[in-house]
Amino acid sequence: MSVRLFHKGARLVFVVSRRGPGDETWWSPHRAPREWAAVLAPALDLLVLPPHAEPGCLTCRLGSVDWTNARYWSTITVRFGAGSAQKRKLVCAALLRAARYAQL
Amino acid sequence: MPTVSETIDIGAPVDEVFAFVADFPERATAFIPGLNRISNVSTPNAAAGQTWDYEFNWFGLVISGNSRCTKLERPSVYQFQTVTGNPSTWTYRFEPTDTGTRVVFNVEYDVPQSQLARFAAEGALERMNKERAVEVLANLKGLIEE
Repeated sequence: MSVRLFHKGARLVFVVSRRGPGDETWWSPHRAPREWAAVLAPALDLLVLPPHAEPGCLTCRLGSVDWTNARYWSTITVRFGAGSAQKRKLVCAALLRAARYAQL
Repeated sequence: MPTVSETIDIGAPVDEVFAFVADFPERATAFIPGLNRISNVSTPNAAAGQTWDYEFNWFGLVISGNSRCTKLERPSVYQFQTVTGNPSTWTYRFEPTDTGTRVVFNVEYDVPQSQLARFAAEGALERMNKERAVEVLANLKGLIEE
């Protein structure tokens, strides 16, 4: 067992707006554009929500996750309108965890 | 060893609930509070002996270690142990019911070995582990049910 202050290779992702369960906007600074589909799609798959990928967007049966990649930051918006409030909240939290900590 | 045990009924077939919990260790980050990363899963298929690394956020510190699946009897029992740090054994039992599945979740854990740490941590650990067990099951129910 080891104890550290930070997760190795973690991405900075801040919640800038939380409008309701599964309705959030995040902001992530970075040095090079991120492949958010590669980060977020496996997390949806794991939760038995197979995603459909389009440029800058993933959709699943709960709703959509879309992002804009600027040179030094990304803005990610989760919009889930289907499923229970608890499910939307939990899936959104799992995606945020993946955005911060998932390893590619 | 101190133990916490909690039970919940989930409205889904026992095979589905078992598979959700046991098939991919990485999935646990979605329903175990504070568990941020699972990596280096040793085999693609869930089985006794499968190992993985975990990273857990504990009051702002990142605790990392290794776990091993110690029992997998589909679709009734799934058990794993943390094999580094303070030992703990996590057991999920699944029983079919008229409306879905009853999940009985049990965690056996050791308290820190030093007397000072034990004095400071024992009561808080018990309370925290009980609250965490309740949250784990509520999260599972929320993720599996529509």
